[in-house]
Amino acid sequence: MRKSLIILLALISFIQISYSQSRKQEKEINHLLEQMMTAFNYYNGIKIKSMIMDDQFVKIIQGGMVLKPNYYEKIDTGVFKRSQVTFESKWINKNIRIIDAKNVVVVGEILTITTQKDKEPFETKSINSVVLQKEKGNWKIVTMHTSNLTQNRNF
Amino acid sequence: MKPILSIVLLFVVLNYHPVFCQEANVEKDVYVLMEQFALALNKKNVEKAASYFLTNPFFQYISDGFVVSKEEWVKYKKESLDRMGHYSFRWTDKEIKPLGKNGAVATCKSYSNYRINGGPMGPTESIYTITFEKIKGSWYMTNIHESPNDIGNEISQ
Repeated sequence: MRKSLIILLALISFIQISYSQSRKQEKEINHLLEQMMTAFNYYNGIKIKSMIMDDQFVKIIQGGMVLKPNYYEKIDTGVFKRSQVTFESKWINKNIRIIDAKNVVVVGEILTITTQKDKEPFETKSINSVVLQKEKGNWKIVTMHTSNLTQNRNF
Repeated sequence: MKPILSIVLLFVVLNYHPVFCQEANVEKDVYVLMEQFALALNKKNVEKAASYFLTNPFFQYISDGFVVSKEEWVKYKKESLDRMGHYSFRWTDKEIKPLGKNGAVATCKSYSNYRINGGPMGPTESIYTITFEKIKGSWYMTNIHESPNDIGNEISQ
């Protein structure tokens, strides 16, 4: 009886630890995703690049184009900043799927409000698939695939 | 004390011992699954192809920004394949990265060739990001994000 009770208590503790680890993981992921939006909104290319894993496999795909690794280094001096286009992007919904303690998949929608000088601001929505992996205690983007959301069936 | 230590030891061994951390097999398993998916599509066996999708609300097939569930994909894919006389599909440029021992992500391209109602052949290329998970010993695609390859799609006469 006593042994069974000890095993039961150990199992309960294990489940509680796993659950709180999972909550902690989600919190870390949400924080990273918010930081990513802030970095995009303020043209902080260096910050964005620091969130991306330094690995040959890494792919950042926008629409049908694979972006070159140094793409984000050019954001802070790039064409958008020079033309005074501002973006306000935020996640409007996301689903986080935890594979294990170090690997997570996030699929969600980002709403972007684009404002250009002397023009009316307009909204676009994109659907994003992001794979994150924990490396040396920090979450890093392994792949990010973005498409403009559409209601038009294309297959 | 001993039962607790046994449980803890069992947990550590199962999660960290190299014999149980079989990342090396992950790439091979995912590669095989992708080829089986392609084979099913080439046979226009949409149900079989969809059997490799995770049956879970998380699963989405994103085709150039158009988001569908597993059931919707089956319906739309059957409709589009029924219109095609000839259809062929293959993967190219596959790169697979294990995500631990129970997950993986692949980036790849597909090359499809089809003819609709006796019209001209239409090759199309797409670029994909696909995530995979091993659940109860079987691998499944958990999310598929497809975009038309920006190199350009051609219709031949």
